Amino acid sequence: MGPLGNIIQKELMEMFRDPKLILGMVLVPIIMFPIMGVAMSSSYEATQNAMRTSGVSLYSQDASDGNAGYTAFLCTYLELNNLTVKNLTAADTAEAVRKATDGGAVVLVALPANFTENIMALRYNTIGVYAIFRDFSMTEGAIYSQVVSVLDGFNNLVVADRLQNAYPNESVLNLTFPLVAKSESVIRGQVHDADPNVVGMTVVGSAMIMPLTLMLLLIMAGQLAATSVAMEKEQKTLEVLLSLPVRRINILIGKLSGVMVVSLFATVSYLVGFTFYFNSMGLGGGADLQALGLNPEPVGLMLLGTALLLSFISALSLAVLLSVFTKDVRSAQSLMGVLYIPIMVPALILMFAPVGSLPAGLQLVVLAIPFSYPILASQALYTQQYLLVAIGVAYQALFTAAVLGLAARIFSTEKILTAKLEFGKKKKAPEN
Amino acid sequence: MIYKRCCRGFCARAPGTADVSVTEIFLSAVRPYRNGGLATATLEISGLVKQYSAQIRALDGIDLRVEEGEVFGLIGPNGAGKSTCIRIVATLLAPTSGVVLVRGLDVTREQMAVRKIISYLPEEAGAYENLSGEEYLRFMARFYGGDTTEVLKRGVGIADLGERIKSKTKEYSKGMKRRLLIGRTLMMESKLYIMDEPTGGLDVLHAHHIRNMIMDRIKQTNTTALISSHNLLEVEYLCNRVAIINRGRIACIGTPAELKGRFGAANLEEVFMKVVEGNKPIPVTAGGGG
Repeated sequence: MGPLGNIIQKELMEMFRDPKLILGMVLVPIIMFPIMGVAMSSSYEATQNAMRTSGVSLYSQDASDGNAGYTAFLCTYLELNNLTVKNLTAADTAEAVRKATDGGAVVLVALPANFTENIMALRYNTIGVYAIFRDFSMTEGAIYSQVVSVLDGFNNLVVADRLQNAYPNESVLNLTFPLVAKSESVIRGQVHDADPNVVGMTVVGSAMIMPLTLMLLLIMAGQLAATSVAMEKEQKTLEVLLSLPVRRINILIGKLSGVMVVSLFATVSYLVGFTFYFNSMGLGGGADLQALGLNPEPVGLMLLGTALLLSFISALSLAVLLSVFTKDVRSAQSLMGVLYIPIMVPALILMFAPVGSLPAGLQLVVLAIPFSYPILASQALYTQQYLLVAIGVAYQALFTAAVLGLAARIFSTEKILTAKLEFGKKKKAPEN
Repeated sequence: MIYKRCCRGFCARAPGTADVSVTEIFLSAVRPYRNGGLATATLEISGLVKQYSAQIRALDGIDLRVEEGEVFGLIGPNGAGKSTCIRIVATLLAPTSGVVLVRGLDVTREQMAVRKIISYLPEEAGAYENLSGEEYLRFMARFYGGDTTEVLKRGVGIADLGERIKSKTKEYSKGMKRRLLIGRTLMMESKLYIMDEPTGGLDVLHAHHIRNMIMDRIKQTNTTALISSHNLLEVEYLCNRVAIINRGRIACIGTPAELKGRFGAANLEEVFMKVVEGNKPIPVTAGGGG
């Protein structure tokens, strides 16, 4: 085994035997994200159940027509929309509010005395909708929104009924829907019978997974690389390593390779975890991308792979470079914060807006950051606009070569032992 | 700085600071030795200066010659420059000026060649925590090529940790870790062993064991060693010759017996105190000092 292979093997043995590292980088994502997804979907289901079981109190002062009138119809319509309705009797609205609150209702709907009569006479009604807050949860808001939406539906039904009475020979559909949207998706000039919302959700879901995964992985891999050198300092193994007959560049490449192998496992783990999470949240979309002609092309995949690899090498080299100036793991991790900004900024921006839609200044910032290109490459898989990404990958290659060269240069000098960044402290001589 | 040639290599440093390339003078001087015509010293240091910053001059013109088979001790107070000197010999730090040759190889220009023939143990050294002692020794042995199995066997034997050699080093006590590191240092058939405080911070039992390990290995191989230590009894026990280094300069140099005689001292500790605290004049009379 050559010196480089020897170092890579040592790095891998060290990292894979570190339970904290494996737990944090490989096991947690594959366990945590599915758990988060299950928890979120359970919470969503709980909200739905709460809507079915939590009460809507209906206080009607409408004494005009008993069960045959619009009050009874509204009550039935609320129940048909998965809401549990409890009729209240009260002297006035204030008492109704008190009773609804005491009775555990989430929303109180108060109808005026001449509710049915007004509708029949083609006059509008003002009805009271009281949202009763207790724990200010999403469930309370969801039930209120559902009630408002049912009341809108009630309006439409009443209008449809009136139109039908006015035009008995016309169908309700013709009367109430002057236009009906039949949505289809046009992708690369081809019309597909697919709901644009579903297509959008599927692509956006995938496009969000990449920036998120990349951001987390670059941060963690950077931490790992910085720690790897700082650990040698902290464990006092660096001096011996540097005195061995092995080229310093091999030590650097060995460390970067070890971190990249561990990061590869972490990438798979994160992708599986995120995919499960997004799907369980209903953000996976569910559109058949292959049928829609959105299968990634080899050139797109190649650009994405290259951009990812270059991002990793440059981020890890930067991390190693920073760690040279620290004396222990803790200071290395603190100094790594400097690297978070260029990693997080493009990920957060490009997650929500395509680069072309950004103001010119912000576009320049995003394009100047080498870590933007894997995200742009993942978006190009769907847009097939490869030119910008190809130019970016070339820029990334230059940047990576420069950073790697600088790291190798510093690694081969005594600075790796003597350089220290001490903010606000007087420089201390090395121990003689 | 200018150096005068003499029959033993170099005479004492001449006063004055003429701007002459020490490296060129020195290399031209030692070239005949490197070609095998004359006996080569294992370590030759000439006019070694190390300046960390404008204010901090750790070494201020060290001249030293360690012959093959010698165990040479470097002693001195904290901050005297011992570790800096040792780190330069171990190719970790670059000299500001001066020349350091290990078996005729320049530590600045021929770093890789030097690293192949030295074995260095720093004062504060550790082992990779998630590797076993045996894996650590194997990892180190592989860098030198050759029969790794034989080297590993020797390292395991020197460390003498029994079955614990298979345990992860994070489970080792400080003494066990130091024994492993001594095993690592001495398992290679190096031309020069460099050890900075080999028994620093250890209890008497472990220190005694490690001293014996070093002595046994050096006797077996008739090799050369450069040892720095604050433990003067240890230095006296292990070393054929000793240099006291103070404020970046060699204060005196000689065998322990010579030094004791020269200063009228009962032991090396008294010599040390007289040289360092008493501001004795620097009697450079023996060894590499010319």
